[in-house]
Parts: sequence; structure tokens; C-alpha cells
Amino acid sequence: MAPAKDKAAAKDKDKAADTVAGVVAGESGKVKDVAARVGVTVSFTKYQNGGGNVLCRDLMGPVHWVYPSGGNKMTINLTVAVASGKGGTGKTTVSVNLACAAVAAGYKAAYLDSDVEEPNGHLFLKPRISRRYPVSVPVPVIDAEKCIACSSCGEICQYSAILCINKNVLTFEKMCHGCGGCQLACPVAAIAEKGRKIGIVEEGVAGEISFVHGKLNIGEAMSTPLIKAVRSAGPDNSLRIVDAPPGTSCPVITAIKGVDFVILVTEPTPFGLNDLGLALDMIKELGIPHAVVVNRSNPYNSLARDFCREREVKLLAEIPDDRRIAEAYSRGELAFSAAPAYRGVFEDLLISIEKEARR
Amino acid sequence: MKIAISAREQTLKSLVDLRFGRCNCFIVVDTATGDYRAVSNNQNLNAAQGAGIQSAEIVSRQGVEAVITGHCGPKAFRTLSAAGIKVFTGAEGTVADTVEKFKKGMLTEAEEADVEGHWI
Repeated sequence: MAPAKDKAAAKDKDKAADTVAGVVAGESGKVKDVAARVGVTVSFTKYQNGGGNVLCRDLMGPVHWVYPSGGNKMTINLTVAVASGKGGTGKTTVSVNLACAAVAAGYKAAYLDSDVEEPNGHLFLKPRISRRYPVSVPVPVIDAEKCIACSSCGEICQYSAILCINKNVLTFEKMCHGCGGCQLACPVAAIAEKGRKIGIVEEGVAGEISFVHGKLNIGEAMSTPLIKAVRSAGPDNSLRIVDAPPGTSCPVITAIKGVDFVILVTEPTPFGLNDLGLALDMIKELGIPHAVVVNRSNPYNSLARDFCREREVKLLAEIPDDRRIAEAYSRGELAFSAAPAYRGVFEDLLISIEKEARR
Repeated sequence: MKIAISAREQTLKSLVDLRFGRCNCFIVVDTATGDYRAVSNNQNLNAAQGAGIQSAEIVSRQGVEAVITGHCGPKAFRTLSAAGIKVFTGAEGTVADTVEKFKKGMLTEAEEADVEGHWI
């Protein structure tokens, strides 16, 4: 690689990097032309996993990225969930940038935002929505003519969503989990079901990334049916990245159940690690392969590294505590595009996930 | 007439619990005889949801005609109404004083819930 002689040359180099990033399939020749014009050398090597892909290195020192040389995306069938105990640790940052890295590496990728209470992946991916549909939960409807006020429905309901009091059957639709128990328990078939809308699913594309997210209605407490709908949307035969809600309770369990691999994002603070510990306990119960990614990492803070060693959990990547990443985030920009120096972090993470998930 | 008062402890000297669904217990008083007994509400103290509905069911099973409490949310109010139980909100002080006020007709009956669910 030709050394940068002055600031102008460095600037040109950045420009070249951007140009290369924008180069589409099969145009490695153009990359070389651009690189030659600004005085840097580009070398291409075959990317080990991707038949027709080239790996472009050396343009920005240690940073490298992969882009497809053919129009056809490699297929992969892998679902990876990005979760955390604590909120605000960087699940969405990791998810959206990972999706970008996957597409850049030639994979078919899908981003599924299952944090339906406050989905925010769309702020970064800016998808074009092409399909929108409501999601409902079944709730009981009582036929007062048939009802014999026997209380069977109220006795079986675990959520106080239906009860028989003073010969009246009351239903509380928002409490109903839609299990259908009352319908089964009713001896005179006086209970039917109707749908109660809890939110919507939106599907679309963000560049080459398939995009899905759920939006829960305001004031709605029942999020799991919507999360299931998000999980079942999106293309198969792709790298499906599930951006999970925070915490360790029903919503996150619904989001990560049955995935191939879970990335737990944490920050190296006592609060972050306390909640990471809870998330690890949860994930062990579920028995899903997993590893940790530390966000806002700092070489002088070994809290997270020590924690991972103690808990014997693999630390896959550390995203540095860099103002450029924070600034990009605050503008709704992807670190992958706005702070290209960190592309390598996400590309390496992608490769680590592939390896871990295929073990 | 049997009435139920949400209370912090199981005696007449106890303070009225301002919460209906998650009160410690109900003191069920027979206003004619002055007899009373405490009914535990432990099962609802830490319920994730449905505390008001379940509490209403508990007092309904006691056969009371009125409930006196600090505040009552919409689901509890709806359940109590369906059970034909009158609701008096805004109570404060001790259970004994509240019973006296009720007997003198100093409490006003609530026509609707006075707080949202999970108000505290």
C-alpha cells in the first residue's frame, strides 16, 4: 500500500474507499482504476466462503470489506438474534451493521426488528415499506343466550381476562392471552372468538436487506403475538438477524426461541454486566448457542472481558467507544457507512458468527 | 349491611389502604352488629396483572353490598358494578372512623373509577 504523503492524499483515499463501497457486482476493474487514480494499491483475493466474491483489502490499512462480484447472493439459512439484558447497550447498532456487513459479504440478509414496543432499526436502514398488515389476538365473545353462568370460564383463566360474577360474564380483552382455554372449558359452547388488533407488521427492503418490523399499538401490553408474527415474516434461506427487545422476560424469550445463535450485547459497566448475567442465565435455560459483544469498549476497562472469562462465555467482538460511532448514531446513520474504519469490526463479527453457529 | 374496607392491617385500628386491588387485606364489617373479620388479599399483592379484578371477586364472595377504599381503577370498578357492589372512594384515616363516617352517610358513592389501572 502506498503511504499517504499528506492530508489531501488521505482525503482522496477516503474518497476512493467510498467509491469502492459503492461499486456494484463485478466491477473490480473500476475499483482498481479509481484506486490507481488516487495512488493507492488495491489487492483482491478470493473470499474463502463465497464462490464468486472478492475480498478487498489494504485500501484502508487494517480495514477490509467484502463485496459480491456476481449478481447472485449467496444463500445461507441462519437466524441470529441480537439481545441484551440491559436496554440501550447497542442491539440495534450491532443488528443493522451486521445486516450491512452480511449484504456486503454477498449474503442474502434480512433484518427483523422484534423490539415491537419501540422499534428503531428503520431509523438507520430507512426501508421502503411494501407490505403492511395487522396482527390480532383471539379474545372471547360470550353468547349471553347460551351462557348458563357456571363460572367454568373464569376458573380456568389464568389472567383474569374472563370471570363470572353475579351471573354476569365479564371479559377484559386486554388481559387476554388468547389461549382459548375458556372456549374449551365452556360446557354449553357459549364462547366464540374474535380478533383484537394489537399492532401491525411492516415489510419492505432497505437496499439489499429485507426489512421487517412490528409496531405495537400504544398502551398495548400484549406484545408476544406480534413478535411471533415478525419472527415468521421475512425470507428464508438468508441470514436472518433478529433485533430482540431488552430484558429477560416473555418478549425477549419469544424473540430468541428457536434461533441458531444469540449475540448478547453489553456495555462494560456494572449495570450492563449485571443484566448480562441475567441474560446469560436466561439463555442457558433455553439452551441456545451464544456469545457476547461488548459495545462502547475501552482498552483500559477490562470489566466485560473479566466477566466473560469468569462466566466462561465467548467474547466475539468489541465495538470501541468512539465519538464517531455515537455521532453517526445520533444522526440516524449507519456506523458501517459513516465510520468506515469500523467496518472490519462488523465483518469480523459476521465471520465469527458463521463459525460459531456452524459448530 | 355488610361492607368491605381495604386496610393495611387486619384490625379496626388499621389505616385504610388507599389501593383497592393491592391492599393488604379487607376488613369486612357488619354495620348492624359491629362484627368484623379480616380477609387476606395476599394473592393479589404481587400479582402481575388483574389484581383489581381478583380483589373484586374476593369481596364479592364475602357477600358485601359496598366497598370503601381510597382509589378504584376501571377494571375493579367494572367488576364490582357487575357484582352489584357499591363503591365509595376517597376514604382515609382508620378503618373504625371510616365505618362511622359510612354509617352517618358522610361518604359519597363513586359513579366511575377515579384512577387509571396501575396508578401507583
